[in-house]
Amino acid sequence: MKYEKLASPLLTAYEDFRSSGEPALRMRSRAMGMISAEGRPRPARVVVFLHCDEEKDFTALTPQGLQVNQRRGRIRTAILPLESLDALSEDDGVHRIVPARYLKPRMDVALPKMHIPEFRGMSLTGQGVILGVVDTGIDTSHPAFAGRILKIWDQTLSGAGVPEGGYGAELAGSTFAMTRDTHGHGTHVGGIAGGSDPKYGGIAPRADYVVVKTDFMNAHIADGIRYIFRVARELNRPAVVNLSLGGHGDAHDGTDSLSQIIDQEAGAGRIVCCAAGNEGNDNIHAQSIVGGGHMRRMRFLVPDMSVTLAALNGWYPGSATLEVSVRSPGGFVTPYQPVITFGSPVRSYTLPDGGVTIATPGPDPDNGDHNFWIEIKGETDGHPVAGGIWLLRVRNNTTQGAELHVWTLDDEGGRVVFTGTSVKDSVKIGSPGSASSAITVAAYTTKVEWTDVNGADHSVGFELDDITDFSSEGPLRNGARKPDVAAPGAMIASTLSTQSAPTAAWILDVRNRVNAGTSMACPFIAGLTALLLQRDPKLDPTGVKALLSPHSRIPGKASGSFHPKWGFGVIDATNL
Amino acid sequence: MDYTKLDASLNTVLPGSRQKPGVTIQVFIHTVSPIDQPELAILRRHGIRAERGATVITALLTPDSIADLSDQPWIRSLKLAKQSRPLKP
Repeated sequence: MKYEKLASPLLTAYEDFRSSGEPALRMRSRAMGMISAEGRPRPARVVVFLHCDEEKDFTALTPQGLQVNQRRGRIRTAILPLESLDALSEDDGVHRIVPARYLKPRMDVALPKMHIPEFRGMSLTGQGVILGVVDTGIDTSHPAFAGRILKIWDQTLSGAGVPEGGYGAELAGSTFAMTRDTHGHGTHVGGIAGGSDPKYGGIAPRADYVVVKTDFMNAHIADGIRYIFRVARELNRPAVVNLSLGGHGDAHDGTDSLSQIIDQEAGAGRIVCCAAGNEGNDNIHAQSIVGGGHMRRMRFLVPDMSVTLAALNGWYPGSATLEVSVRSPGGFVTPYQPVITFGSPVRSYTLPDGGVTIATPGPDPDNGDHNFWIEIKGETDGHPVAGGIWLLRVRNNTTQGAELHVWTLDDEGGRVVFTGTSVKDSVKIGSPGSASSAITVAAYTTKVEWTDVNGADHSVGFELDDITDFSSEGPLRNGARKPDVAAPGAMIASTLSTQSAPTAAWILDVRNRVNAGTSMACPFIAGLTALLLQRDPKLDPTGVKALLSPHSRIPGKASGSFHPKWGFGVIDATNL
Repeated sequence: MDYTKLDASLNTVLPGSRQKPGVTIQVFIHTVSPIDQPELAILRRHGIRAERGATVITALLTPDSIADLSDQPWIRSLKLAKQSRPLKP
C-alpha cells in the first residue's frame, strides 16, 4: 500500500475499517462516500476522486472491482471496494485517492446575493444570444457547455485563419478536440457567464458560445472581437463579448487602438464587457505635477535577477514638454532627453549596469498628449535587469506645469513597482477596460471560505460583502469615470478545465473550481448582459449602462453615487 | 520614414528590428479617414487584408513596410501591438 497517495480522511477510514470492520464505515457514511456492505452481497465500497495521468487506462484494475466513470482526465470519479485500495495505490499512474463527500444541495452564493434567480424568473436564460469569450480557450468536453459552443477560432493553432485574420484555425463540431484550455482561465470565465450546472451554473445557461482562444496580442484580441460580432451578425443574433484580460502599455484614456476598435464594433445588439484589472494592491502607477522650471524624481524597484525587460510608459499633456533621464541602482545616469520631432526619437544608452532605450516623440495624434517609452535591459541581451532602486528623472524647462502619469511594465507583469511619494492608487484601469463603450467591471467579494476536493477547508483574507482589494481603481487619465459597476469576483465557483492542472486547494470537484479576480466579475456582467439582450436584442452599450447604473449601489451610499474603486457599485438584479 | 507617425513603443523596437532580417512587427494602422479602393490596393501590396471603410487595421509588417506606409498621406499613425494577459490576482 502506498499510504502517501491516500487523502487523510480515507486513510483513517481504511485503517479503522481494517481494525473495526463495518461499523467504521457506518459512522462515516453521512460525511463521505462510504457504502457499507452490511446486509448486502457486495463488499464495502467507497466513492473517490482519482488524481491520475490524463490518459491512464484502468482496464487492468477492473477485476479488482474498480469502476472509473471517465475514460480520460487528470481527475476522475470512481467507486471501488475498500480491499482494492492497496492495488490502486500501487499503480504508478495513480497519484492521489480522495474520498468523495456529500455537499449541501444549494446554488453557489454569488447568484442569489445579486438576485439573479429572481431576475431570470422563468423566461430569461440567454437563449438566442451569443456569448463571445476571448481568452485562454475552453474545455469543449465540459458538460456545462454541452451542445452550445458554435465555433472556436484558435489563434494559436496553424491554419488558414478567418476573414478577420489569416492565422490560427477555425473549429466547429468534431474538430473541437483540436483545441485545449490547459490554462483553465477561459473555461472558468465561460462557465460564470453561461455554464449549465445545478450547483455552480452561470448567469445565462442557454446562451450559445463563440470562443476565441487568443495569444493575447492586443491586435489579435481586436481581430477576435470582430470575428465574434461577424459570426453573430451572420446568425442574426445579438452578442456580448467578454474580455477578462488587459495590460498597461496604453494611454489609460480609451484612445488606444484596441479601445477604438471596441468603440467602433460595439453598438445595438453588440456589447463588450471588460475586467477592470487586478492591480489594486500593486504600485504600478506614479503621478506627479512637474512644475515649470522644476524637476521630479520617481523611484521604482526592479527585483533582483528576475526581470529581463522593464519598461516605463509615461504620458503628459501635449501642451507641455518634458525631458527625461534614468538613473541606475549603481548611480549611473543617462542624459536628459528632450522631445524629438525630427528623425527617429529613439536614443539608446549603455550604462555600466544596464542598457536603457528612451523614445520621446512628439504628441500622439490620437489624443494630442506626449508619450515617452523607456526600456531597460540587462548588461547583455537576455541578462536580467540590475535589481534595486532605479530613478526616473523628469525636468520641465518650460514655464508651464504638467501632470505626469507613468506606469511600470515588465515581462512578467507587476514585478517592477514604484516606491515613494509618487505612487498613486488610482488610474490603474488600462486597455481594454478603458474603452468608452465597454462595460468595465470591478470585483466584489461574496465568498471567502470553501472546502476543496481533498476535504481541506480554505479561507482568504478578503472582506466579505465589500469591494475586493485587488480590484483596479479608476478614473481614467482624462478623468472619465471607470469602472462602471462591481460584480462578484471573489471567490467564485465555476467550471474547471480538465485540461488544466491547478493545485488541489482550488478544485471543488471533478468539474468545478474556485478562482478570484475581476476576470471572474466581468463574465458575471457579460452573462447578465446576455439576459438583457434576450429581452431586448437591440440594446446598445449606452442602454446597458443606463440599466445597470441605477440598479447598482455602493453600500451605505445613495444609488447613483460613483467611486473610482466601485464604479456605481455592486449590481442588484432584482428590478432590472 | 515619417517617424512622427510611429508611437513611442514602435519607435523603440524599430531600430533593433531593422538589423534582423525577416523580422515582422504586429501593429495597428490608423488612417486619416475611412479607406477605399486605392488605399486597400496599397495595403494589399503589403499583405494586409482590410475592409472598405475601416479606420483602424491590424497588420503584421516588416520594418520596410512600416517605413513605406508611414510616408502615405492617408495614414495617420502606426502603433505597436502589445501583449495583454489573462487577469489573475
